[in-house]
Amino acid sequence: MLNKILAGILMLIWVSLPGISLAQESPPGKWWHLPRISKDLNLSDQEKSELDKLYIDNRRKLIDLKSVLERERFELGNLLEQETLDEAAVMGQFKKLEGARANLATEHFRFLLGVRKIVGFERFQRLEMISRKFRSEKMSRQKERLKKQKE
Amino acid sequence: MRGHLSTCPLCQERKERLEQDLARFGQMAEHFAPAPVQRVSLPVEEFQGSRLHPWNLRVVLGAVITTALVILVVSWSLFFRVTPEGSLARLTQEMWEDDHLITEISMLEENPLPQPFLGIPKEPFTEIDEEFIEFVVPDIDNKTLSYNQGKGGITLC
Repeated sequence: MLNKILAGILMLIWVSLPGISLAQESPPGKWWHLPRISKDLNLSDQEKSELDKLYIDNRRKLIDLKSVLERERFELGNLLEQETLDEAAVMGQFKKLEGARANLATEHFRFLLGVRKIVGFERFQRLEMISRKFRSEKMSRQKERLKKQKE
Repeated sequence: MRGHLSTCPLCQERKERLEQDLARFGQMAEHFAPAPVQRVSLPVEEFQGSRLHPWNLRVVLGAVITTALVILVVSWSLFFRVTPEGSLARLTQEMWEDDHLITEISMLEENPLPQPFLGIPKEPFTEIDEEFIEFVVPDIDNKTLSYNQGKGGITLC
């Protein structure tokens, strides 16, 4: 009973998670451990284990790349705040920043690619459908919340 | 033999002499024996029950270790067992944290420029409306300006 309640709360939290970017194609966290999704996608223990490994490797890299990007952004901001503008330096730093952004986006995409490889075509499509369904539920909940706030 | 002894006076005399000799010998022995200086006590046999046989010691030690292990395992399972509820709560926490990370990453991917420059659009305005015109061109002689979207120009109202 408690298990079901917790699972329900989990779903509710997920649906109402604030600020999920539209660019996010899969649910956050280790969604493959959620009983509902795991059952729906018929995930085996081996696949869950592979997803676990993929997630850990990916998030480790994402954290590193995010910090690199933040550092490059800081450096660019620092250059732009100088009274005498060094255009060459600014452009050079901007290129570095763009490179860091590309690396971050690539790694972010690599995770989705890994998920696609593990679950296969059909289940990936189902996962997208699940993700879309949750996202639309989340949007409608946010709208309801905004309506209530206005009232 | 006893009948002969009761009737023979010679044998009776010899018997009496022997008895007298024996009594005298006893008196002499008592006279020459040294006086006891300490109390004589018989050695007490040591109690064997308190000493453990090496084999018994191993059994006791084994029992103690087993009991300790059982207690450890039981307490461990009681305090640190992973219940489905516990794992779901942990999963929720991880989802929150991951959502936060991915949201930040998505925002950075979308626009990595430093904070003060985030508000300045890189692209030209694509949507021109009344509000924009009022912002760019102030009122002239109390007459309002209007953007004629159909003809693509600004006209005086």
